[in-house]
Amino acid sequence: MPLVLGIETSCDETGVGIVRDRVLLADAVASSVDEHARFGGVVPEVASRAHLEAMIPTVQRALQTAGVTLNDLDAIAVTSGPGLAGALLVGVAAAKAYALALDLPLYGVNHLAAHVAVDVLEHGPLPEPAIAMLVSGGHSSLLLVEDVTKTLLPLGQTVDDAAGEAFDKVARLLGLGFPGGPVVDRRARDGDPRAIPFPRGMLTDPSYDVSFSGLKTAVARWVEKHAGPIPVADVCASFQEAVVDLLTAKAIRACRDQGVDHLLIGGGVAANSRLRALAEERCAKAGIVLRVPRPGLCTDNGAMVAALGDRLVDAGVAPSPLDLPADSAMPVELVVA
Amino acid sequence: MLALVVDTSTPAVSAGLVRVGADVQVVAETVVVDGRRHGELLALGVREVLKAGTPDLVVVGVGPGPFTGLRVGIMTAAAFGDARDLPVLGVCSLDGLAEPDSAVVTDARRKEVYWAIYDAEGQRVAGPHVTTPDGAQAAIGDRRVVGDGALLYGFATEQEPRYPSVRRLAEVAVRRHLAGEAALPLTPLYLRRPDATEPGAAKKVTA
Ligand SMILES: Nc1ncnc2c1ncn2[C@@H]1O[C@H](COP(=O)(O)OP(=O)(O)OP(=O)(O)O)[C@@H](O)[C@H]1O
Repeated sequence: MPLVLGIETSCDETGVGIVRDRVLLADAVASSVDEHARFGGVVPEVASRAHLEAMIPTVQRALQTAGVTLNDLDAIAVTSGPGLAGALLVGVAAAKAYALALDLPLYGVNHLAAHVAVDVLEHGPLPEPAIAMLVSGGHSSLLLVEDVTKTLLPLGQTVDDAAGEAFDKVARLLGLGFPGGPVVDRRARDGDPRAIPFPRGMLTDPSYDVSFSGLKTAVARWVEKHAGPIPVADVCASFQEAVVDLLTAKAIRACRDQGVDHLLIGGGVAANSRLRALAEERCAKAGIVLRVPRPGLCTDNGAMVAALGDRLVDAGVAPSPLDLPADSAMPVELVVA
Repeated sequence: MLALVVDTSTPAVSAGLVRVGADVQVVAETVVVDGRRHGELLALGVREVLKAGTPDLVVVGVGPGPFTGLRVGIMTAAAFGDARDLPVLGVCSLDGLAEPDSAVVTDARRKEVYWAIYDAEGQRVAGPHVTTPDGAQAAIGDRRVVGDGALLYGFATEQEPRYPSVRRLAEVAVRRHLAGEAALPLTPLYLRRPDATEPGAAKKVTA
């Protein structure tokens, strides 16, 4: 049974996870999100600096939690893309050095595939084919998953902002701080989702693509034109409803069209309570089994990288070469570089 | 004592295995000059030099230098040391270029240079600093200048060596280590703050 260490540094979280045969043994995360907050978004240079400082302590913390040593490991997996180039590079350099020093196979893996693979830790093997919807600060993608160790087929994506980015931008224009997702989610609980009819970008478009920039502009316009105090809870609830209505409608349609009866949702926005509730409701109606990992596994972490590494070792997939590049634009079709 | 040495503070991606005893001997060395591929090339170089022996400690140039490449070298050294349970000694990369009575000048991009000045014993007496080439030239005076920054900005009479040598880095780091001096921490000598501006008020979308 292979013991795999996974390293994730594609954005602002330094994540180190340890997995053995689909069992999560440790998931240590150090986040630099507080350092980015005053800039209203992730600053790549700040993230890269933080990864370098956090890496060794985070690895040590993960090992301690798992009760294993570096010498017990059988493979190293690392996110080699997509993501912030300078940030990825720190994780890839660390993974290579560990693999080299310990004489272990190295897997440079796709961040999106790792978001899909993480669910196996909580819900067991993913019945394939499945549809995966990955929604985060950097991505809004609908993918057909036939074999997560081989390739992911992109069905649709955002044509402008990512879903999480829309949450962050709307939170900023309401003065709610960064990151915006959790606070909008919280404020929306006291609001009326039908109070303001915000647009659902590309809802009726036959593709599986989505768009959020029109929605963001509509919210900004509504707030500017509104006389008197802004009903923040109603704006949050109505905005959030537009996002999750659009996302779930497209995901369900993809399942139907592809004849697939499993839908997996991952990425930071999958932590959204309304997205979970509406997806649950619509999947139940459509006879689709919904799988959403717990919020801690939806946001970026090392466990997801280790989980995918574990599957790759299990499937006998060849490791990556030692000159593996960090690929900020790694295509989703490529699971292992 | 056998030192694994890495430096990625300049376009040279350097790895070496250096024996430091009564004298200093380079056992194996790889240098590839490609300032955009530190991340791809360094581990290959390390693997290559490790064929010549098993290191007792790790020495790494912590800059100053362009940040992205620099972090590759430091992260590699730190993780290697962690995995093998070896001491990892950080050393100023400019020291790896220095000669007695000289100044070292390397390219800091953005029309600036990193520089330091060394006395007759080869001890650093000024720097590392980052300034314009003119600022560096004024401080350096008519000392002998080495490093690729001098070449680039054309104020050196001699340019060799252009990049830090693994031999020199090992020698400086190990001698200081044996003398009980603390090594530099495994964090880049950034000398500059991150470029980031705090956002102003949101743009208006209605007229
Ligand atoms: N409860 C929530 N509701 C809506 N959005 C949320 C919620 N919690 C977090 N988010 C959003 O998720 C995003 C963060 O996602 P994640 O942690 O996956 O990081 P990321 O760097 O955006 O990920 P990736 O690198 O996969 O694109 C942020 O945009 C944040 O606002």
